[in-house]
Amino acid sequence: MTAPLLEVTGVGKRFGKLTVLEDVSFSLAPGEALGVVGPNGAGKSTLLNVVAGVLPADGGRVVLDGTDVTRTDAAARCRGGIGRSYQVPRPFGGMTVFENALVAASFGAGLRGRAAADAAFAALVTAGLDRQADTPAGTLRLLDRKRLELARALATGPRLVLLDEIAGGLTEAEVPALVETVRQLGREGVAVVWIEHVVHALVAVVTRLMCLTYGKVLAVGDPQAVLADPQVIEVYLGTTMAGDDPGLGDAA
Amino acid sequence: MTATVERAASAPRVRRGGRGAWVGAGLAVVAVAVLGYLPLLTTRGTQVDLVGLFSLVVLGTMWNLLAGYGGMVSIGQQAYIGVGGYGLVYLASTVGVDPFLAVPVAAVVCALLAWPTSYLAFRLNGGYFAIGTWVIAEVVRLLVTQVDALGAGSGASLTGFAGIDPTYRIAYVYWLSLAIVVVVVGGVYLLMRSRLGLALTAIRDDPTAAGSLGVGVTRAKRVVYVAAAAGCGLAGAMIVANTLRVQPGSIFSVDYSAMMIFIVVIGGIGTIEGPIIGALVFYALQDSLADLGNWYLVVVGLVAIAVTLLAPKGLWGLTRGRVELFPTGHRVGSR
Repeated sequence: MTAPLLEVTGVGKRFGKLTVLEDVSFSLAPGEALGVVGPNGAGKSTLLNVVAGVLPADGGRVVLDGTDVTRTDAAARCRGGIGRSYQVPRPFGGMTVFENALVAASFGAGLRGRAAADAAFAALVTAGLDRQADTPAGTLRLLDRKRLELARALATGPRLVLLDEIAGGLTEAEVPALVETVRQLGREGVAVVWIEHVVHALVAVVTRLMCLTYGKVLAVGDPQAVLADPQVIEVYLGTTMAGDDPGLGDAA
Repeated sequence: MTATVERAASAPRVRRGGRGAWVGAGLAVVAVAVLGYLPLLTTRGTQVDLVGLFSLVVLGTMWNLLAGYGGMVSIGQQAYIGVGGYGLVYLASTVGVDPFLAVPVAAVVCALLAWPTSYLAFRLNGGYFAIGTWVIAEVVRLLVTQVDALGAGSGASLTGFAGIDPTYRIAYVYWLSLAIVVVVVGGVYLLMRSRLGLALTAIRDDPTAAGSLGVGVTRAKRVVYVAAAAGCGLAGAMIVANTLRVQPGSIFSVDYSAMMIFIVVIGGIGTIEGPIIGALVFYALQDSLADLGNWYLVVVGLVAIAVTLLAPKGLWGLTRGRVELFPTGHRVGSR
């Protein structure tokens, strides 16, 4: 087995008295895709923020390709190969779609001039935004903002991509294209952590599935096995799935 | 997906300018040429007035760089205006440096002072940063008033020009000030077109997202803070070279921050054109309402309220981005 690209060991996170993550551990090999499911408030987005360096961990370690990055800031982790998307999109509203991706290619991937422009545009093509390259990002609708999150994450030239609910709201025809994009990342050796409520999209591409609840890992392993786990059905699939898809629609 | 992959191979050319850039460059050249010729046509009083306008353009441009691009709302830039002004007087009158050389040296002193100060100021954010910068400016003012060599509380006069005929002195100061405007506005334009400018624009819109995409947010802000200090130092030196007198109460006055904010908000924040327009508006108001006494401030306040209500993005914002005389963006032509 190849050396792990990402090793998360015993990570914890508290907001005041509220424990959001408790002793979460997992590792990821290059090219591997890990799906993350769990009810709202389970700590999924917090986990991504801790891995990406946006939030400091209160305990445990995050190791990227053998380097301990637990105390490193988000910008340095991005330059080290972690590209991420935000669940609630954070576009640079006053810049065009292309310039948004160009920021990622210039500073995340460290490219300059022509190379930066090409990488930025290629990421827009992959995310399906190339026709809106000159549109101000602030005028995009929610779905396109999510596409822009994906494009920017890809334009950083990542070795590890953290995706936070980017499939919610896509049409049935668009989901397979997204799944194919994630699969292609795996073939290029890029590891993926993907939080998603669109479970069939996840199962189509991830090699492992992790279910979080109340900040703890409830189950992790083969996707079908995790989905068949009675506890997972109890806390996630069986009881909450029907009303549990906040990413749907263009309402924002 | 296959169709899009083929298109990716031929990524379009990135355009940085457009027709507006040529119009802008042409206007800038004409304006500088006309302004440069003026001392041969006008009175000394007009030149002194115009240097006042030039200092407003520099101050507005610097505040816009800080707040409009760097996201740093400072109300303490008078610290560097004062250090620039006092630096000129001290270097020229006491050290004996040629005053025209002392102006850029005073700006370098401001930059050297701003760099360590940034580590203090950057511990604060948002409103706290604004108040913190003001406190720093007050500390600098109080320190300066303790130094007898600088005239303590009563200030000092600039004597370095003594050997020059007033007509020439005023023209030279005018040309120096015009050159500073060109360097400052042109410098900000080139900065915003550069890689750092791309980072700053991203920081302006969302610093957290910029950090997540690899932008060194604090480093970029520090560069801007130091550059803005140098620019404000140039403006301070320009003001003192024009009036030949420096007093702690006026050169360190928080009124400068109020003026800078007015100029940028009225003209249009986050644009290079905005502060120039704002400075022209403020100068015109100052000039035409000078006889009104305190009512002048009331009128300025009403204008500020009217513009922020009717044109929230400032006067230049009324162009809705359709006109860009100083374009900094990247277009690929696939709207």
